[in-house]
Amino acid sequence: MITRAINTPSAVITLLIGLSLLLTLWPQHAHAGGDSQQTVVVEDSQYGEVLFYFYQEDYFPAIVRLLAAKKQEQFVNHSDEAELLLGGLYLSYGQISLAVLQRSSDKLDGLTAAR
Amino acid sequence: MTRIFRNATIISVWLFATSVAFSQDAAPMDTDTVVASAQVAASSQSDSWQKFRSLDEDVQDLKKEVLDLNRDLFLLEEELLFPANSQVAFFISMDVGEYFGLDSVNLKIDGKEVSNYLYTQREVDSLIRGGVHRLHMGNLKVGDHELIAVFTGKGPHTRNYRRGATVTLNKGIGAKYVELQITDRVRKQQPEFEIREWE
Repeated sequence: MITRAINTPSAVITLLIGLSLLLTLWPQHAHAGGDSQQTVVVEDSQYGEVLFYFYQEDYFPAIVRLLAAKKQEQFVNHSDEAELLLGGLYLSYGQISLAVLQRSSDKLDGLTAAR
Repeated sequence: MTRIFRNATIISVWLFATSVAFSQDAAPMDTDTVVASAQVAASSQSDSWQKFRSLDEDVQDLKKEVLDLNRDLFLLEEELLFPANSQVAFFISMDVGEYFGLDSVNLKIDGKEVSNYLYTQREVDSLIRGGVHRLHMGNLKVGDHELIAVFTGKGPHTRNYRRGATVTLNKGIGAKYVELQITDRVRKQQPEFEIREWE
Protein backbone atom coordinates (compact mmCIF):
# COMPACT_ATOMS: atom_id res chain seq x y z
CA MET A 1 0.00 0.00 0.00
CA ILE A 2 2.78 2.43 1.04
CA THR A 3 4.95 1.40 -1.93
CA ARG A 4 2.05 2.08 -4.27
CA ALA A 5 1.50 5.51 -2.72
CA ILE A 6 5.17 6.46 -3.07
CA ASN A 7 5.21 5.31 -6.67
CA THR A 8 3.02 8.20 -7.78
CA PRO A 9 5.08 11.24 -8.91
CA SER A 10 3.27 13.78 -6.70
CA ALA A 11 3.84 11.63 -3.61
CA VAL A 12 7.56 11.35 -4.40
CA ILE A 13 7.85 15.14 -4.83
CA THR A 14 5.99 15.74 -1.56
CA LEU A 15 8.25 13.27 0.22
CA LEU A 16 11.38 14.92 -1.17
CA ILE A 17 10.19 18.40 -0.20
CA GLY A 18 9.33 17.14 3.29
CA LEU A 19 12.73 15.51 3.70
CA SER A 20 14.59 18.59 2.48
CA LEU A 21 12.57 20.82 4.84
CA LEU A 22 13.31 18.48 7.73
CA LEU A 23 17.03 18.48 6.94
CA THR A 24 17.07 22.27 6.57
CA LEU A 25 15.19 23.01 9.78
CA TRP A 26 16.67 20.34 12.04
CA PRO A 27 20.08 21.95 12.78
CA GLN A 28 18.46 25.38 13.23
CA HIS A 29 16.10 24.02 15.89
CA ALA A 30 18.96 22.31 17.67
CA HIS A 31 20.97 25.54 17.52
CA ALA A 32 18.04 27.63 18.75
CA GLY A 33 17.55 25.27 21.67
CA GLY A 34 21.16 25.73 22.67
CA ASP A 35 21.00 29.53 22.36
CA SER A 36 17.88 29.89 24.47
CA GLN A 37 19.80 28.66 27.48
CA GLN A 38 22.47 31.32 27.10
CA THR A 39 22.19 34.33 29.36
CA VAL A 40 22.62 37.91 28.20
CA VAL A 41 26.16 39.13 28.73
CA VAL A 42 25.92 42.84 29.38
CA GLU A 43 29.01 44.83 28.56
CA ASP A 44 27.61 48.36 28.82
CA SER A 45 26.19 49.26 32.23
CA GLN A 46 23.64 51.63 30.66
CA TYR A 47 22.31 48.86 28.43
CA GLY A 48 21.94 46.58 31.45
CA GLU A 49 20.04 49.32 33.25
CA VAL A 50 17.61 49.62 30.35
CA LEU A 51 17.13 45.83 30.43
CA PHE A 52 16.47 46.01 34.18
CA TYR A 53 13.39 48.18 33.55
CA PHE A 54 12.42 46.43 30.32
CA TYR A 55 12.21 43.01 32.00
CA GLN A 56 9.93 44.53 34.65
CA GLU A 57 7.73 45.90 31.86
CA ASP A 58 8.44 49.46 33.03
CA TYR A 59 8.66 50.80 29.52
CA PHE A 60 8.72 54.52 30.27
CA PRO A 61 11.91 54.60 32.41
CA ALA A 62 13.48 52.06 30.02
CA ILE A 63 12.88 54.33 26.99
CA VAL A 64 14.02 57.46 28.86
CA ARG A 65 17.28 55.80 29.96
CA LEU A 66 17.88 54.32 26.52
CA LEU A 67 17.33 57.68 24.80
CA ALA A 68 19.60 59.43 27.32
CA ALA A 69 22.40 56.88 26.89
CA LYS A 70 21.98 56.98 23.12
CA LYS A 71 22.26 60.77 23.08
CA GLN A 72 25.47 60.55 25.12
CA GLU A 73 26.76 57.74 22.85
CA GLN A 74 27.28 55.42 25.80
CA PHE A 75 26.40 52.20 23.98
CA VAL A 76 29.80 51.00 22.86
CA ASN A 77 29.22 47.25 22.75
CA HIS A 78 25.43 47.09 22.41
CA SER A 79 24.58 49.82 19.92
CA ASP A 80 22.78 47.46 17.50
CA GLU A 81 20.85 45.68 20.24
CA ALA A 82 19.91 49.04 21.72
CA GLU A 83 18.41 50.16 18.39
CA LEU A 84 16.40 46.96 18.15
CA LEU A 85 15.29 47.22 21.77
CA LEU A 86 14.20 50.82 21.26
CA GLY A 87 11.89 49.74 18.43
CA GLY A 88 10.37 47.06 20.66
CA LEU A 89 10.00 49.48 23.55
CA TYR A 90 8.23 52.02 21.34
CA LEU A 91 5.85 49.32 20.20
CA SER A 92 5.15 48.20 23.77
CA TYR A 93 4.59 51.80 24.82
CA GLY A 94 2.04 52.33 22.04
CA GLN A 95 4.27 54.57 19.91
CA ILE A 96 3.44 52.79 16.68
CA SER A 97 4.64 55.56 14.34
CA LEU A 98 7.98 55.83 16.17
CA ALA A 99 8.37 52.04 16.12
CA VAL A 100 7.80 52.06 12.36
CA LEU A 101 10.36 54.86 11.97
CA GLN A 102 12.80 52.93 14.14
CA ARG A 103 12.23 49.80 12.04
CA SER A 104 12.99 51.68 8.84
CA SER A 105 16.18 53.23 10.21
CA ASP A 106 19.34 52.49 8.24
CA LYS A 107 21.13 50.98 11.22
CA LEU A 108 18.41 48.42 11.88
CA ASP A 109 18.21 47.55 8.19
CA GLY A 110 21.95 46.86 8.23
CA LEU A 111 21.54 44.71 11.33
CA THR A 112 18.73 42.68 9.75
CA ALA A 113 20.74 42.19 6.56
CA ALA A 114 23.80 41.09 8.52
CA ARG A 115 21.84 38.38 10.32
CA MET B 1 -70.71 26.34 6.29
CA THR B 2 -69.36 25.69 2.81
CA ARG B 3 -70.14 29.31 1.83
CA ILE B 4 -68.25 30.66 4.84
CA PHE B 5 -65.27 28.49 3.98
CA ARG B 6 -65.35 29.69 0.35
CA ASN B 7 -65.53 33.38 1.42
CA ALA B 8 -62.63 32.90 3.79
CA THR B 9 -60.57 31.31 1.02
CA ILE B 10 -61.35 34.19 -1.40
CA ILE B 11 -60.42 36.80 1.22
CA SER B 12 -57.14 35.08 2.06
CA VAL B 13 -56.21 34.76 -1.65
CA TRP B 14 -57.01 38.46 -2.17
CA LEU B 15 -54.91 39.43 0.85
CA PHE B 16 -51.97 37.37 -0.42
CA ALA B 17 -52.20 38.89 -3.94
CA THR B 18 -52.37 42.43 -2.51
CA SER B 19 -49.37 41.87 -0.28
CA VAL B 20 -47.36 40.46 -3.21
CA ALA B 21 -48.28 43.47 -5.37
CA PHE B 22 -47.31 45.92 -2.61
CA SER B 23 -44.05 44.19 -1.99
CA GLN B 24 -43.18 44.33 -5.73
CA ASP B 25 -43.99 48.05 -5.83
CA ALA B 26 -42.05 48.77 -2.67
CA ALA B 27 -38.96 46.72 -3.57
CA PRO B 28 -37.10 49.31 -5.73
CA MET B 29 -37.82 52.04 -3.22
CA ASP B 30 -36.38 49.94 -0.36
CA THR B 31 -33.16 49.22 -2.27
CA ASP B 32 -32.58 52.94 -2.89
CA THR B 33 -33.17 53.70 0.76
CA VAL B 34 -30.84 50.94 1.87
CA VAL B 35 -28.08 52.14 -0.50
CA ALA B 36 -28.49 55.73 0.64
CA SER B 37 -28.48 54.81 4.30
CA ALA B 38 -25.44 52.59 3.74
CA GLN B 39 -23.63 55.51 2.09
CA VAL B 40 -24.51 57.80 4.99
CA ALA B 41 -23.35 55.16 7.48
CA ALA B 42 -20.10 54.62 5.56
CA SER B 43 -19.34 58.33 5.40
CA SER B 44 -20.06 58.79 9.11
CA GLN B 45 -17.88 55.76 9.89
CA SER B 46 -15.11 57.24 7.75
CA ASP B 47 -15.44 60.56 9.58
CA SER B 48 -15.28 58.89 12.98
CA TRP B 49 -12.29 56.81 11.84
CA GLN B 50 -10.49 59.99 10.67
CA LYS B 51 -11.24 61.63 14.02
CA PHE B 52 -9.93 58.56 15.86
CA ARG B 53 -6.76 58.51 13.75
CA SER B 54 -6.18 62.18 14.35
CA LEU B 55 -6.70 61.68 18.11
CA ASP B 56 -4.32 58.72 18.11
CA GLU B 57 -1.67 60.76 16.29
CA ASP B 58 -2.12 63.60 18.79
CA VAL B 59 -1.67 61.19 21.71
CA GLN B 60 1.43 59.68 20.13
CA ASP B 61 2.93 63.14 19.49
CA LEU B 62 2.22 64.10 23.07
CA LYS B 63 3.83 60.93 24.39
CA LYS B 64 6.90 61.57 22.23
CA GLU B 65 7.19 65.09 23.63
CA VAL B 66 6.93 63.71 27.19
CA LEU B 67 9.63 61.14 26.45
CA ASP B 68 11.97 63.75 24.95
CA LEU B 69 11.36 66.10 27.86
CA ASN B 70 12.10 63.35 30.39
CA ARG B 71 15.26 62.38 28.55
CA ASP B 72 16.50 65.98 28.62
CA LEU B 73 15.61 66.37 32.31
CA PHE B 74 17.35 63.08 33.12
CA LEU B 75 20.53 64.22 31.37
CA LEU B 76 20.36 67.69 32.91
CA GLU B 77 19.90 66.23 36.40
CA GLU B 78 22.91 63.95 35.97
CA GLU B 79 25.09 66.74 34.62
CA LEU B 80 24.18 69.12 37.43
CA LEU B 81 24.19 66.72 40.38
CA PHE B 82 26.97 64.39 39.32
CA PRO B 83 29.62 66.16 37.25
CA ALA B 84 31.73 63.87 35.08
CA ASN B 85 34.92 64.56 37.07
CA SER B 86 33.59 63.32 40.40
CA GLN B 87 30.84 60.97 39.26
CA VAL B 88 30.76 57.45 40.62
CA ALA B 89 28.01 54.87 40.04
CA PHE B 90 27.47 51.45 41.62
CA PHE B 91 25.60 48.72 39.79
CA ILE B 92 24.24 45.36 40.94
CA SER B 93 24.20 42.43 38.53
CA MET B 94 23.39 38.77 39.02
CA ASP B 95 24.40 35.66 37.16
CA VAL B 96 22.15 32.57 37.40
CA GLY B 97 21.20 33.08 41.07
CA GLU B 98 20.68 29.40 41.87
CA TYR B 99 22.52 29.50 45.19
CA PHE B 100 21.40 32.93 46.30
CA GLY B 101 18.04 34.69 46.43
CA LEU B 102 18.73 38.40 46.84
CA ASP B 103 16.76 40.35 49.45
CA SER B 104 18.74 43.52 50.08
CA VAL B 105 22.06 45.25 49.57
CA ASN B 106 23.68 47.66 51.96
CA LEU B 107 26.42 49.89 50.60
CA LYS B 108 28.96 51.86 52.63
CA ILE B 109 31.64 54.19 51.27
CA ASP B 110 34.39 55.19 53.70
CA GLY B 111 32.28 53.92 56.59
CA LYS B 112 29.25 56.01 55.62
CA GLU B 113 26.06 54.26 54.54
CA VAL B 114 25.02 55.56 51.13
CA SER B 115 22.41 53.01 50.08
CA ASN B 116 20.23 50.32 51.60
CA TYR B 117 18.03 48.81 48.93
CA LEU B 118 15.36 46.14 49.38
CA TYR B 119 14.62 44.16 46.21
CA THR B 120 11.21 42.93 45.08
CA GLN B 121 10.77 39.56 43.39
CA ARG B 122 10.19 41.29 40.04
CA GLU B 123 13.47 43.16 40.38
CA VAL B 124 15.35 39.99 41.33
CA ASP B 125 13.86 38.17 38.30
CA SER B 126 14.93 41.06 36.11
CA LEU B 127 18.47 40.89 37.51
CA ILE B 128 18.66 37.15 36.86
CA ARG B 129 17.56 37.68 33.24
CA GLY B 130 20.43 40.08 32.62
CA GLY B 131 19.25 43.43 33.96
CA VAL B 132 21.63 45.69 35.85
CA HIS B 133 20.38 47.88 38.68
CA ARG B 134 21.99 51.22 39.41
CA LEU B 135 22.17 51.03 43.19
CA HIS B 136 23.77 54.37 43.90
CA MET B 137 25.14 57.37 42.12
CA GLY B 138 27.24 59.96 43.84
CA ASN B 139 30.36 62.09 43.87
CA LEU B 140 33.78 61.09 45.19
CA LYS B 141 37.02 62.99 45.49
CA VAL B 142 40.10 61.81 43.65
CA GLY B 143 41.97 59.23 45.74
CA ASP B 144 41.42 55.92 47.55
CA HIS B 145 38.04 55.02 49.01
CA GLU B 146 36.91 51.96 50.94
CA LEU B 147 33.75 50.31 49.67
CA ILE B 148 31.80 47.76 51.73
CA ALA B 149 28.77 45.96 50.31
CA VAL B 150 26.66 43.65 52.46
CA PHE B 151 24.32 41.25 50.63
CA THR B 152 21.37 39.72 52.49
CA GLY B 153 19.12 36.96 51.18
CA LYS B 154 18.49 33.25 51.03
CA GLY B 155 21.51 31.06 50.49
CA PRO B 156 21.75 27.37 49.57
CA HIS B 157 18.96 25.21 51.08
CA THR B 158 16.95 28.46 51.60
CA ARG B 159 18.93 29.38 54.69
CA ASN B 160 19.32 33.02 55.67
CA TYR B 161 22.49 34.31 54.16
CA ARG B 162 24.48 37.47 54.79
CA ARG B 163 27.80 38.14 53.15
CA GLY B 164 30.01 41.15 52.77
CA ALA B 165 32.46 42.18 50.11
CA THR B 166 34.99 44.94 50.39
CA VAL B 167 37.35 46.70 48.02
CA THR B 168 39.51 49.79 47.93
CA LEU B 169 38.63 52.00 45.01
CA ASN B 170 41.03 54.37 43.40
CA LYS B 171 39.09 57.30 42.03
CA GLY B 172 40.87 59.15 39.30
CA ILE B 173 39.73 62.02 37.13
CA GLY B 174 36.61 61.10 35.18
CA ALA B 175 33.52 59.05 35.90
CA LYS B 176 33.88 55.64 37.54
CA TYR B 177 31.43 52.75 37.26
CA VAL B 178 31.63 49.92 39.77
CA GLU B 179 29.81 46.61 39.39
CA LEU B 180 28.79 44.49 42.37
CA GLN B 181 28.33 41.07 40.84
CA ILE B 182 26.61 38.05 42.37
CA THR B 183 27.61 34.79 40.70
CA ASP B 184 27.20 31.09 41.44
CA ARG B 185 30.25 29.01 42.19
CA VAL B 186 29.10 25.56 41.10
CA ARG B 187 32.10 23.66 42.51
CA LYS B 188 31.54 24.98 46.04
CA GLN B 189 27.78 25.22 45.58
CA GLN B 190 27.94 28.69 47.08
CA PRO B 191 27.26 32.18 45.81
CA GLU B 192 30.14 34.50 45.16
CA PHE B 193 30.22 38.27 45.49
CA GLU B 194 32.64 40.24 43.41
CA ILE B 195 33.30 43.93 43.07
CA ARG B 196 34.88 45.07 39.85
CA GLU B 197 35.30 48.26 37.99
CA TRP B 198 33.40 48.60 34.76
CA GLU B 199 35.53 49.29 31.72
